[in-house]
Amino acid sequence: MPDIAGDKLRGHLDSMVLAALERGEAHGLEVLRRLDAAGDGSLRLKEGSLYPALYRLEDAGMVKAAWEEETRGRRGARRRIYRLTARGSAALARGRTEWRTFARVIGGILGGTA
Amino acid sequence: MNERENDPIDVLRRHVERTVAPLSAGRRRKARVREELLAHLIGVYEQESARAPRAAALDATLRRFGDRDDLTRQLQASVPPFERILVILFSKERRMWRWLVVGGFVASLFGTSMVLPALAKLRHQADLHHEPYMALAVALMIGMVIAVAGLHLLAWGIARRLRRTSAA
Repeated sequence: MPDIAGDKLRGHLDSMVLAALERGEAHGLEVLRRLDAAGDGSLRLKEGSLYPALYRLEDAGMVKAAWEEETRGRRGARRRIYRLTARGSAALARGRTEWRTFARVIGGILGGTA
Repeated sequence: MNERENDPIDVLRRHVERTVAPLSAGRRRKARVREELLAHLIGVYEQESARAPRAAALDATLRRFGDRDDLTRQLQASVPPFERILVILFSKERRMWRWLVVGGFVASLFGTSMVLPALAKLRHQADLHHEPYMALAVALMIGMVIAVAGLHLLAWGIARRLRRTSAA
């Protein structure tokens, strides 16, 4: 399967993060692990790019974050645990509808199946 | 290079600092981003160091994280505009150009508030006598000088800010 990276991912990253958080609260590294597993290893996402997306979603009220208390040897650097809010669930549902429409329309043009 | 500079965690910490320092964002947000990115990088480094020697693990960690300048741009874009404006106006390191802009803006408003009423009176008073006409002309001139000086200050402050940004 060809890699999916850069611009192809950028427009969908927020919805993908929401989908990863739908499975339960998680810190950034765990969100990336879930995305990688769900994408069968084909996603080539620069890991730093996850955080601007998480901050955007947090400012929009779609996710909530709390610092974890345990730093487990990371020299005091704590992770933040993100969880989906009701607004985030609604945005994810909209994102899924938009994606289905997009895939159906573009799939029809390109002649493949979505 | 001494031992501390070689310490992978310190390398990661410096990488995070160079990513976060240029951000126009509030102190609290920057501290939060700094700590979270460092925790992420340390977590990745722990994964990578389990399968590669130290230098290779460090390289792999930074490669996975992505281009630093690109990340700084993305982080900056995630800062709400209102917060950016507040930081631009009130951060200490930008005091000089900030006061030029604020002073210029206030002066240009004040000057304009003298010029516009004077112009309106001049247009609508066809039967002006000598004294009111002189008073209006003086108000008009003073207002124009203040407004032009204000605009000049404003432009100077913005130019200072842009020079500082491009130098950084």
